[in-house]
Amino acid sequence: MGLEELIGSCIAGDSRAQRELYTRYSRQLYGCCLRYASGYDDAQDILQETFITIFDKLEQYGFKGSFEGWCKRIAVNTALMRYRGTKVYELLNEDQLQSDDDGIEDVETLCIDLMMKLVQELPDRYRMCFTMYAIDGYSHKEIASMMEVTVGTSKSNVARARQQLKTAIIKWRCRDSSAS
Amino acid sequence: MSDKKHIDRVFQERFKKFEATPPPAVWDAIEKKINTAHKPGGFLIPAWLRYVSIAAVAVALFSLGSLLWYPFEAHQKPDSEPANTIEKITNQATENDMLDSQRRQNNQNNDTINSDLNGITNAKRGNSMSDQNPGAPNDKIVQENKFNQQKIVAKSSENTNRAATQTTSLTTIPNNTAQSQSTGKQAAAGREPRPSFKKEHTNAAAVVATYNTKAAQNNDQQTTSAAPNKVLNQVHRPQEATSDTTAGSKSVLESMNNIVAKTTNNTADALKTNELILQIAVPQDSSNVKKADLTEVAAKQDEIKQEETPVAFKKTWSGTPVIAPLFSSSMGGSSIGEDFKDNAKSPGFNVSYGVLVGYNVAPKLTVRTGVHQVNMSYTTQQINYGFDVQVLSAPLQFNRQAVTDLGQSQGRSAFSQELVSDGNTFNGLSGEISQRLAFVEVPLEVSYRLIDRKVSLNVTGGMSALFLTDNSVAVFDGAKRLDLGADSNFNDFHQSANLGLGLGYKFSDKLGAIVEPVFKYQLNALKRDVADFRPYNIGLYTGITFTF
Repeated sequence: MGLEELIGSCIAGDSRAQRELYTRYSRQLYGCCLRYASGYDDAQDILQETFITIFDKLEQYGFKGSFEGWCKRIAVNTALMRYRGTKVYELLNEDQLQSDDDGIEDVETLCIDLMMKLVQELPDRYRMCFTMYAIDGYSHKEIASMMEVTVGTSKSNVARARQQLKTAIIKWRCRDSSAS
Repeated sequence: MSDKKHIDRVFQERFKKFEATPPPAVWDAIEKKINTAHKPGGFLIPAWLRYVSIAAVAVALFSLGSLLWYPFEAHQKPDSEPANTIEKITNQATENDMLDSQRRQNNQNNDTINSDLNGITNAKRGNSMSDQNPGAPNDKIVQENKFNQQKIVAKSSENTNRAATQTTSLTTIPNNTAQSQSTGKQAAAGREPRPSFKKEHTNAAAVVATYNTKAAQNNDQQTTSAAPNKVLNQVHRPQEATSDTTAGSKSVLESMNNIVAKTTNNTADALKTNELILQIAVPQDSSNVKKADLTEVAAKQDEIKQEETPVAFKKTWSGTPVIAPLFSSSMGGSSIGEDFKDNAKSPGFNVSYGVLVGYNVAPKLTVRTGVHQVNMSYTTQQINYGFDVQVLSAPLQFNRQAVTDLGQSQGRSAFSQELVSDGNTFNGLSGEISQRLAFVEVPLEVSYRLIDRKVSLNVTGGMSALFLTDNSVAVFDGAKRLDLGADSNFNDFHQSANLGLGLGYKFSDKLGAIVEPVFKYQLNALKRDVADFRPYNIGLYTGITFTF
């Protein structure tokens, strides 16, 4: 079934088509939700809300951009809505943040589960900004607009997220080496 | 010593194509929720209904326009005209029709070409999205290109006397040169280009132009038909080296220039085939790509993203107490009799008030109903109300046979006769007769928001059911008034076709105001309509809207 036909059937309320659409896009969107959520339960809630919104707004999808991109944007917006109330971290010392070395070594030793865990353990705002900027390619201007913060705050949050991630990786390596 | 990698890059690489299977419980919860949303109370309106509604309003407007203007045009036409003049006009009309037809065909061709190009662009998008099977989309594009050429050739043969060249749409194509520069910048900063960055940094100057022309020679045709495929194939290989792409694009550009030059030289016999030419404007040096261009592109991408962002729509109810000054009159005929068609008539100025209840079924579509109290009046002047003793036994009950045109009745002896009532002599009244009516109106209308912002503009169409609640007739002669009871010729129930244009203003999400002039054409107002009575009313409905 083509995408257009599938969407048409979903709008008409065809439950099989809705299931098909979910099957096609749930894996990708769940991956996205996991990056933005603070845990697996939250990610499942975000995924659920995302698909409910998708089915509700399908009529508004005008085939202008990719459907995947449209769905992903809904997922990101849903995640942002979920964590909107969390505290905004302000920029304290931008010079210090910019001068930090953000490189890490032996990246091959990092498994995906560990990296996911590290991202999910970041404070909500740090995680949002870092994921949007570093992984999903949003600009600081876009992040600022979507999160209703300043561009400086967005930069600060990303920089702090990097610092925390780097510290967490170093700690994990220390633990890992001492355990072995 | 191991290499250091930027932390962003490490996470981007790992998470770029990360997917995970959600637990089955997620779908169960989604299914439960979407089924609940579509059960009664959700009131699902099919998407086509809004388009049907718009079409219905358009048809109603057109019909109304025809109804209003056709009689005047008919009267304005001279009864007889010289035969040669009519013939001349007919010939002119035929020529105009032909020109219009050609223009329409031109437009259709342009539309077709535009849509063809869009189709190619869409195919391109599909290609860029698909990493697994890069060969297939290119084949698809080539097939589409061939199909487009056949289509354009077919259309060209129908339009042989048209201009040889048609310029069509502009669309953007990802520019590998610009992208590679961005890649270079990012690499310098220690990061790989991000996925969306690849999408965003397209070359705004890339142009796809279609020339609806014909090549004079077969060689030209081959060159021309090969060119787009080449261009498309190049365009759809974003990972290729910049130098290859630039060189390829340049060669294509040169070949396009040659074709254009040949086409210009051979305009006289250049109407045999049509060729689709894609011309890509590539900067001569990739380093010449200016930041300003990228900023513009980024701004455009922002706009596109904003368009793609779904706007939250909530189905809401609204209540609007309204009041309207109401102008009631008729487009012709008479509510009394055929003799009074040409009598002067005074419109009624009354008031309508009530409540409108609306349900917002789609982002721009509202279905509404309500209850209105409506008062109307129709006044016919220059009448004489007299009675014939032999005909009438109850003179103070309205009887249309007692009404006559003042101009005609003066010559008649059957009217204005004497009748003794309570010892007084009554000789009849000459003046105007006024029919006053009151209705309870129940409208059912569809309102479509043409502009949906803080200030909104709505077009509304629908029907009303009108239930007669009060009916009185009176005759005035300037000084005296004679109430004659009810006119039994008015139907207890009739309908109206409604058309309105409303202006709304939102004070907040919950509170707003509307001002809406509504035209209502009444149908079946009379039981026996012998004088082609065509009543209507226009109300300026004003109210405060409460949304909940």
